[in-house]
Amino acid sequence: MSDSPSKSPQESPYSSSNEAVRAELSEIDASIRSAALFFVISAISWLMLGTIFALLAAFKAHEPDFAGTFEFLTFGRVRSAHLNAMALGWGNNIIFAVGLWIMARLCRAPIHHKGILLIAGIFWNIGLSVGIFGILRGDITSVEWLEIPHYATPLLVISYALIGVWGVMAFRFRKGDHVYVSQWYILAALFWFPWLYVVAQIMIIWFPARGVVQSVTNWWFAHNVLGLWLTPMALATAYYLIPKVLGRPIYSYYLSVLGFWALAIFYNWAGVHHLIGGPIPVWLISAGIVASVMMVIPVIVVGINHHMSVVGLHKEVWRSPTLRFVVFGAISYTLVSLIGSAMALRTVNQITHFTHFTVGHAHHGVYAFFTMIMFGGVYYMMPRLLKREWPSAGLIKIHFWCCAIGITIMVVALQVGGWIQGLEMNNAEIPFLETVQNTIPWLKARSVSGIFLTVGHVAFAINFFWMLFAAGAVRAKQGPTLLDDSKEGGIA
Amino acid sequence: MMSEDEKKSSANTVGREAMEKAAMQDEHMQEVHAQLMREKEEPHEGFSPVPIFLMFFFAALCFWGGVYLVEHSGGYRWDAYSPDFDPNAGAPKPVEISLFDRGAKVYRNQCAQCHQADGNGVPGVYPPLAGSDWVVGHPQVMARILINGLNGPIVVKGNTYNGNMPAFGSSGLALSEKDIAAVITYVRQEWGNAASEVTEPMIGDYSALYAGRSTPWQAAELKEGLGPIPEAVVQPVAEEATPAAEAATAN
Repeated sequence: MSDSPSKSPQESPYSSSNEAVRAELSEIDASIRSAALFFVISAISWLMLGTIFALLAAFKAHEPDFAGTFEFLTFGRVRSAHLNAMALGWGNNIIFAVGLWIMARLCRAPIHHKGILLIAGIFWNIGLSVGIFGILRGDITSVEWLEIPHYATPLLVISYALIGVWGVMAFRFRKGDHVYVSQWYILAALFWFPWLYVVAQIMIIWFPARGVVQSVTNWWFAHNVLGLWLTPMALATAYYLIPKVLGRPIYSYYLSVLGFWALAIFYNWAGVHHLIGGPIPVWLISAGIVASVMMVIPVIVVGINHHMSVVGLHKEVWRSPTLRFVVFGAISYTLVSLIGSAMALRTVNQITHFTHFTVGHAHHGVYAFFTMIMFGGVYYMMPRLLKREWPSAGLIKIHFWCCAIGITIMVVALQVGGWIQGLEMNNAEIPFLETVQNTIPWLKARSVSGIFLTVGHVAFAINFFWMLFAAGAVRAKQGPTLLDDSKEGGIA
Repeated sequence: MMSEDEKKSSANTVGREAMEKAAMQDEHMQEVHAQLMREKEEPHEGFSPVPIFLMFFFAALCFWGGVYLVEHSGGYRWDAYSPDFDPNAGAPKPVEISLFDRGAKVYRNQCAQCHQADGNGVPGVYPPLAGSDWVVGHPQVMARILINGLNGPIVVKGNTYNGNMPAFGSSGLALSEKDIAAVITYVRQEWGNAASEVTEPMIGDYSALYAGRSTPWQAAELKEGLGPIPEAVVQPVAEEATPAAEAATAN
């Protein structure tokens, strides 16, 4: 089936050969149901907790006295608790749910020993809870992105290994000859993440390398977590959901290949651009800059591939809760990556470095791109796993609009504010304190955006738990929940 | 591989007939069936070619990357930190900073807190340096103050100050001889002051002279027993300093 170059969206999804595949998918869904549900519930719980930490940190940035009497709520701790809750709590859990599910489906291989997967998942979340508690307690390390104290990390590594292995096993026992692009990304990322995490832990925390090698390792790790873990997982999800929901093939296999290998080759080098101007050999930084700019290649390729697969079907995209989020994320991927490449240039970096611009950029990537696509993934996956429909289209709309508006305000505020801040900091005539005071209106705008995001997350959580628990009325609902009043049959 | 798939699908066809009969009555089965039916085909890829202009664009990017690395790689040396480092230029030369500029930096860090950035001091507490006779007179006076410190009342520009100036020589805050020479030069040539430069060897001589002294100077003894003014020519030192330097040469 994969050999057919046909692009016709009319190809009937009801032909009998596909029906066998679809029955098989149902079996696969059943095999991963308990573990995936656990991961989604954990992910949403961490999302809510991380949102609270985020709000606290955002308010404290312009109201330093806010909750100032609680030691465990000081800015440094709350900020790091937010980062780790979001990256390792929300991010990893939702990847374990959506990524493993997509991998199992594409490999047409049910997850065996799902008990081990579930138990490993429980231990991942126990390890993370200990880690976040440790951060708030004051055992935080001084290394950005690796703040979790050393007594929690071994548990994280072991439980990750027991989770990731099921993705690899699914691939090992796959059926069919063709390996789809989502499988490449997921398989690669399942190896990249543990490699990054273990090497960084060893070289920075357990047996610290000497001198600036630590900083190089630190930014190699921190940047690659975004580019070689969150990014490939979100791209795999988009690559799966766009053709799946629209019933139309991905535009070009060749672009997929080019995009994947360009990411794999170039991204690994890019992190050093965080150290521009720092005391490390200049060739290393220049190599990082070149690699960052080279990232334009996979970004444009993926952008074209996604765009051409969607083009002409914008109405369907808008009606489907899944695709509305996924396409928002895919567009953000193009934007945030091109901005990121520009930020690596020395002349731009001299302005943006050490400013809120970088913070805005990080949220642009992790939220507007990764998180939005994962929201789309949850909207697609849950009806299949639970065999129920989303109870409320209204709540989905609130979720979408609050998140879309919220993240837009945040990115614009932090990047415009950060740019001004950078220009002012480079101007020796302006006293430093004045540059700090001038950021306050922009930081307040960020807090406003945080409130938008919170409302969106609450709407999402209500809809999710309503679907999960309120069986009676919800179970009776027929047909997919679409973001459109017209009742003509369709896609979710 | 194919035969396995075929077997499976034929088995499914047989099973499906029985299943469909049961499904007529079973509400749950109908529900599952509806779920199955809305599921579209698993995704696959088309084979549209890569647009040719993209290949040219990517080739241009790679070319740029190569040029950038050649220009800014610092010869892949571990000790090259500047993006403009030229491996063919020999060992990097230390940057030359004039005594006056160096002194300005030392002054900001060590002196401006009391004597103020404008050299006017604080009335009644810290004496002014701008226009002070003590500053622009014999260079040995300032050298003494800097090396050993100053204690007790002193009259500057008609006002009496009674304070305590710390020693910056080896027995005190231990500035280098070069820094002491630099800051004296700066103070003697800034804010309209136009006195001669004080060089590092001069301070070296004075330091050796007063190394044994452990007490700060009193105002009364500052001008006693001065040696001959060492030969020091006022040179135009830096662009910013030209007004002072010009004034000095005019004298």
